[in-house]
Amino acid sequence: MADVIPGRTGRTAGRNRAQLILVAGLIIAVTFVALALTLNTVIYTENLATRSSDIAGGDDAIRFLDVAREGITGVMTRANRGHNGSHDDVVGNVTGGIDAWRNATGRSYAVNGIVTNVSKVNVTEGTRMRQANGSRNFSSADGSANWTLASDVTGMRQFRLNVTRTTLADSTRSLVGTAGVDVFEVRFDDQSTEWQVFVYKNTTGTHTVNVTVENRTSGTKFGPCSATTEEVVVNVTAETVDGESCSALSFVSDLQSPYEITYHDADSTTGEGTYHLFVDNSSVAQSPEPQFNDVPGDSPWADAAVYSVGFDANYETERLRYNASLRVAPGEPDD
Amino acid sequence: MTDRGVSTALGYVLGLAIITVMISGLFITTGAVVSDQRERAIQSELRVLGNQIAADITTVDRLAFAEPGSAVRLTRSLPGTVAGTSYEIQLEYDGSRPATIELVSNQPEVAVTVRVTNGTAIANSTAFGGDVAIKYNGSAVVIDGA
Repeated sequence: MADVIPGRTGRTAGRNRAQLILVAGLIIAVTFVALALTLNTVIYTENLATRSSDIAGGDDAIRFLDVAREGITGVMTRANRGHNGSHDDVVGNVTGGIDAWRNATGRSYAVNGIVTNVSKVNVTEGTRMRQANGSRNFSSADGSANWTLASDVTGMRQFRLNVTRTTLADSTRSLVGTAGVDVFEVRFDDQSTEWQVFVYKNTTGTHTVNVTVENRTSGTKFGPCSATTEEVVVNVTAETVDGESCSALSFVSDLQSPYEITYHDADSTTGEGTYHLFVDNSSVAQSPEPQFNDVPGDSPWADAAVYSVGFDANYETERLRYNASLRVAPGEPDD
Repeated sequence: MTDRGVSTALGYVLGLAIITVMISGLFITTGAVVSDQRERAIQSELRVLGNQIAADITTVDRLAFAEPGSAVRLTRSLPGTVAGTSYEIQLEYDGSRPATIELVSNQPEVAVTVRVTNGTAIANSTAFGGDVAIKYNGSAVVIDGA
């Protein structure tokens, strides 16, 4: 064996020394390699940390849902706009529209490596009621002043009344709802509570259009909400009068299903104007007469319509898969 | 001249001892430096990974929150090991916000905790390093192997 310290074994003396130094050198070398590997890990970590942690397309997925909601709303609005002979016709148009929309958007998303899909789940059939003749009063097609627009209603949307100020009856907040006072009134009866929406013009002052709401069951009055323009839009489901929020109409969101929508004192002395609403009761469109006309364009007119569409939307990228069930019914009270 | 052999033997032993002590010292200190640096590297990498998982949980949470009743699945390819050691990811939520993501490496054992605040519920779940999936199944966010 070689000597660790300079030995005296003849010819090899002085040549076989320094093994321990060699071992030490080896240890240092291994240490450096280990440190280099550690440094490599640290560099990799920094690299990971600075990579865009794109939130994996989360924004785009939510945007897709919004786009789908808008698209299907457009399809539904378009299908409801024209005259539909039957519910089968309008449902067929909505289904066809959804298919076309899915194919068009699917292709444009596919370009970016995103798979999207929209599939119809259910369609709620309903009735669209409309009076387009602004110089007609709010009576039924057969001339009744007190009449039912729809009963067994569990949902209504886009209920807009457009009244002409000068044609409204004169009254005051305290008088409306009392016996013998004829003022145009929309009534909602949900079995437990009856809500009356009176539309009239004020007896005094500038004769502003007033909307007063009364809980007929308890006798409490809310409002009035006022407007001074000649044509006043009372948006019942959006709870606005002439574009301004009207808290008196907030009961609309709390109606218990099913309820009944009726007009009272709707004759030539209480007001003229147009109105438009959708209800989820399809039976009115199936047999509109005698309250409504069955001829497109006549006032008032009831037609087959789609009330709401429920659908599944899927959005898929390399990393993300997102499925959501959506429903569109534009202009519902809680919308 | 008779004590020359003694001196040589003594010098030999002393020299051997001193060099052994020096090399041992070198070995111990460099070993400590290496393992210390490795632990710090593991810790910083786990923290980065924890924050990436937190970003994904936030994304899933946001998507789930945007549409109640939706189903979300988000995958992420994480490294299988950090500085040569495997690790475990534990998602913990005791009902009081924020939830915690605890990443624990195996050998040496280094633990890093990252907090994440979310709107939907989080269920206690565990996954190992590698490809992981963060899911929302309609009730709670969980982490799972992809």
